[in-house]
Amino acid sequence: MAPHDSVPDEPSRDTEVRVGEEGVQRSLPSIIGITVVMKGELTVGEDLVIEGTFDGTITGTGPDTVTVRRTAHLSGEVSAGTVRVEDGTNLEGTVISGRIKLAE
Amino acid sequence: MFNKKKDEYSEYEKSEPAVSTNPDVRRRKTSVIGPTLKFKGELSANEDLIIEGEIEGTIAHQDKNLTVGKEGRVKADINARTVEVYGKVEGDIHGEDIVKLAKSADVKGNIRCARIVMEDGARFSGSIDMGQKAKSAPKPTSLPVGESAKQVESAG
Repeated sequence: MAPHDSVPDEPSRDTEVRVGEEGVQRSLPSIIGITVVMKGELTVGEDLVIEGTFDGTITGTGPDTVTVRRTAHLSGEVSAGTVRVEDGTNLEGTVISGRIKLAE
Repeated sequence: MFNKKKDEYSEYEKSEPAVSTNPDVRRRKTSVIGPTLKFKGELSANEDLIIEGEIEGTIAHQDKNLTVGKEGRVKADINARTVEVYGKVEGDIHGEDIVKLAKSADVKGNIRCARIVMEDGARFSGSIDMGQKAKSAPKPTSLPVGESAKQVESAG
C-alpha cells in the first residue's frame, strides 16, 4: 500500500448531522467547537478537530488525526497518530506524534 | 430532488424548532463528541452539542441545544436550552425550554424544565419539576379591566 503522505483532508463542519428515531446518525469526526471550553482528560479513537479551548491531555488511541485549528487555545499534552496544527494556533505544551503537520 | 432537500434545510434554519420531531436534519455549526471519544473533566459550550461518546464531570451549556445520542453516555449534570436524550444520562437535567426523552433514553436523575416529552419506552428514574415557564411561552396581552380602562382614559 502506498504511504499516506498528504495531510488528511480538512473535515467540514457543514456536513449533515441527522437526528432521528435512531438517535444521531453522522459521518463526522469529533469536533470541539470554537465556543467549547474543556478541561480534563480526553481519549479518542477517531479524527478530532479542535477549534475551541482545551486544557489537559488528549490521547489518540489509533492512527487518526488530531487537527488543531488556528482558533484553538490548547495547553497540555497531545498524543496522536497524526497531529495537524494550523498556522497561528495558540499551543502550549507537548505534542507526541508519529507525524506532525503544520498547515497554513 | 436535491433542490427540495436544500429548501428543507433552509426552512429548518429559519424556523429553528425548539426540539426536533421526526427524522430531522441539522446543518449548522455544531460540536460533536464522537462515539469513540471519552472525556473526564469540565465542559462548557455556547453552541449546539451532540454527544455520542462518553462524558463524565460537569457540562455547562449556555442557551443552546444539547443532544445525547443513542450511543452517548453522560455522567454529569446538564444545563441547556433544549435537551434531547437518546442514550444514557446519570445526573440532573435542566432544560430552559424543553427536555425530550426518546424511547431509547435511560435517565437517572432529576429533570427541571418548562416542557417535557417522554416517548413510550423511555427509562427514567428521578423527579420532574416543571415549575418554570417556557421562554417561548406567549406573554399575556390583555390587561385587567381596571388597568385597560385607565389606559383608555389617559389616551383619550
